[in-house]
Amino acid sequence: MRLAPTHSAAAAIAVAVLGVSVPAAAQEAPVDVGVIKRSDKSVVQKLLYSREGRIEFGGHLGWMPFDSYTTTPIAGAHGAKHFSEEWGAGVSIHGGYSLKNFTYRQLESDAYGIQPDAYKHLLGVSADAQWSPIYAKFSWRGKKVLHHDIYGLAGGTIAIEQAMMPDGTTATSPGFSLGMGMRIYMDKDSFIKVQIRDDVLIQKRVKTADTQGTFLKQNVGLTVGYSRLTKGK
Amino acid sequence: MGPAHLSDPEDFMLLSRNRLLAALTLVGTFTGCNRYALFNQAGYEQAAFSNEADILFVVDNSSSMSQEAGALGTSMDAFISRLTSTDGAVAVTETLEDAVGNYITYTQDRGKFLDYKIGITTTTPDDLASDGMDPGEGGRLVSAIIEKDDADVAEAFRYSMLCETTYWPSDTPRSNSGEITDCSSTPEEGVTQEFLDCVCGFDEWKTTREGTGTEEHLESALMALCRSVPNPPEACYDSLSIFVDSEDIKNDDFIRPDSTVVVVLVTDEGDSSRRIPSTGTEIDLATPYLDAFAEFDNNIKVVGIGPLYDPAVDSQPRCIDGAGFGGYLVDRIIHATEQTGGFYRYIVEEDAGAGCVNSDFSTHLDELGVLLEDLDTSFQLQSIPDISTIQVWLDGEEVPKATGTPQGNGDVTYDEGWSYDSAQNAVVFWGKWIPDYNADVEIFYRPLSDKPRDLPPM
Repeated sequence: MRLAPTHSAAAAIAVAVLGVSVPAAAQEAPVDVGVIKRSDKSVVQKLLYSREGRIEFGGHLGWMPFDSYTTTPIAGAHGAKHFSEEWGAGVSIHGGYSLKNFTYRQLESDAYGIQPDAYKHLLGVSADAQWSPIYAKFSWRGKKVLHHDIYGLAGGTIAIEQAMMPDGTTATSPGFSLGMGMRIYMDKDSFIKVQIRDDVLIQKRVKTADTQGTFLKQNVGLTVGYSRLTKGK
Repeated sequence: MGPAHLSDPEDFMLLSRNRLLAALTLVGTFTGCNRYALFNQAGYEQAAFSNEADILFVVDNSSSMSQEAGALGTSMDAFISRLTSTDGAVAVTETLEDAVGNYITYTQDRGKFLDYKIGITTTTPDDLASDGMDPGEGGRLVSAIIEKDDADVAEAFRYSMLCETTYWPSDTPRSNSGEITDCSSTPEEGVTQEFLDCVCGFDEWKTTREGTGTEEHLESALMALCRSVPNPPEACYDSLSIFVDSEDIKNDDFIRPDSTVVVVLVTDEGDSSRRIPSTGTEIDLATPYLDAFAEFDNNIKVVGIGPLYDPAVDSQPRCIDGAGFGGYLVDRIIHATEQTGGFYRYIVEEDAGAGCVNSDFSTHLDELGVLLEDLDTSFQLQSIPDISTIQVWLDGEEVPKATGTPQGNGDVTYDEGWSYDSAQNAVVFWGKWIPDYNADVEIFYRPLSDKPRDLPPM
C-alpha cells in the first residue's frame, strides 16, 4: 500500500509520538499530548543541534580568488542572531589585502607595459538575512555522522578598496551580497561554517571618471570559519 | 502540498540536470570577470632620459647626392657647437654658488650634458663590387665612431662625409684656381676637387664608390643597428635581411644599452626598403621597420632630410635630378619620422626664381640638436592617450599637471609640472619637474583605443 503524502506525515508524527509513549503506557497512565497543530508537523521532531534563539559569533579565513588581476586573502569576524531554526540575521567584517596575480604581473612586465586599474580589497562590512531551509546529516566513511544545515544569505555590504596603481586612490563601494553556505556541527554549541559569498559592489574610479567612472565589481569570497553559539533557551 | 515523488527515472534526470545548470549559472555569476580600464605604462622607457645619444647618419651615396652630402659634411659646426661641452658640462660643485651655477647651466643649456656618439653608414645594402660588406654597405659604418670627446668632432665628421662616404663623380667641379692649403672653410662655389684634395688628401676622395640607385634607407638603418648591439633582435634575422649572412661584421657596439638612438636619413630619393610591400594599401608606411625598431631596447627616433615633397599637395617630389618617382616612397620616410617623434625637412628648396638650391643644413642640424635636448624634457608615448587619464610619477612622487597660459603669438607657456604635447604625442616636463638623467619616470595613461595591445590569455 502506498500512503498519500499528508498521510505519510501524519503517520510519521504518530509513530514518533507513540513510539515514545507506548512502552511507558504499559507502566504509567496515558499522557495527554494535547492538540497537534498542522504547524507542529515536521519530519524532524527534535533537532539535535538547535540554533533557535541563540546568538552565533566566530571568526573566519578566506580567499577571493576569482578576480581577473588580483587574488585576495581575507580574515574576519562574524556574528548572527538566529530567530528560528530557519531564519537569522548576521553581520560580518573582514579585512584583506589583494595581491597581484600572475596575469597582472605578466601585464606590467616590460613585454606588455600595461597596468590594469584594479583595486585592492582592504575592508568589507556586511549585514544580511540568513535562511536555512535544509537540515540534514551525512555519514563520513560510514563512521561518523555529521549534522549540518545549508543556508542562503542576502543583504547589504560596503567595501573599502584602494587602487593598485601608484595613485593609491581609495574607493568606498556599497553593494549587495548573495551567498550560500553550510554549517557543520561539531557539538551543540559550535560549528564549522563553509561559505561562498558574492559581494556585488558599485565602485567609482576617479582615474577614468571622464569616460567611465562607475563600475560594477564582484568580490567572490570563499571562507571557512568557526562559530560558537550562546546558551539556548 | 507534499514533496514530489520522482518515481520516474527520467523526471529525476531532468531535475538533476536543472540543478546542475542552476549550479553552473551560479558559479558563472560568481566567477564573472571584473572589468578594469587598462593603462599603458611608460615607465620602462625611462632610458629615454639617459644623457646618452647615439646618432646614426644614413647617407645616400648615389651620384646625385654628392653636392648635398658635401654640404651636410661642411655644416656640422652649428650642430657640434650646440652639443659640445664648453662651460658647465663638467660640473664642479665645491660651493653653494657652484651648485646653483651648475643647476642653472644644466637646466638652461642641457645639450652640453649630452654624451653623444656619431656613426655614418650609407643607403646601399651591398653594391656587389666586392665580396662581403664594404664599409658603408649593409649598415656597416664607413669609419670609426665619432665621440664627443674626440679632439675635433666637426672635422672628423666632415672628413668622414667628404672622404669616405660621399661618392664624387668625375665631373665634380674644379675651381682651377690652384691648390687650397687652408680647408677650414668651404669655398664659396661649393665643394670642389681642390677643396676635396685639401680635406682628404690628393685624390683620396676618388676612392669612394657609387652607391646603388635603389636606396634602402630604413633597411640600411636597421642593418646598422643590428650590427651595433651585442644581441640583435629577431627582426635582424628576417629572411629578407642581408644581416643573416654577414652578422659577424659588427659596428663596435655603437649603440649603448640605455642610449637614445637618432637615425638621420639624408637623401634626395624615396625609400625602397625591401620589407615594405610594393603593392597594397601600406606601400607608403614604414610599419615593418617601426616594428623592427621596437624590438630594440633603445628609444629610436628617425629624422629625415629628404626630397622636397609635401604629401598634402604634391603627387611626387619637386626639384629632383633625373626621373621622378612616386611620392609614396617619401611618405615612408615621413611616416617613420612622425611615428618616432622625429622630424622631416627638405634637402632642397625652391628659390624665388623657381630654381632649386640646397637647404641650409646648418639649420637642420641645429634642429637635430634641439631634438636631442628635447629628449630630456619630452617623453613620447606609444599610444594616443585619453589625456584626462594621464598620471606622471617622478622618483615615486606624483608630478602635477602644469597650467598653460596662452601667449599672444599663439604659443602656450607652462608653469611647473607636466603637459601633453599632441603634436609629438609626448608628455613634456616643466620647471623643477624636469627629470634628472636616469631619473625613475613612470607615466600611466589609458589609450584611446582602450586596448593597448594584444593581451596575454587570462
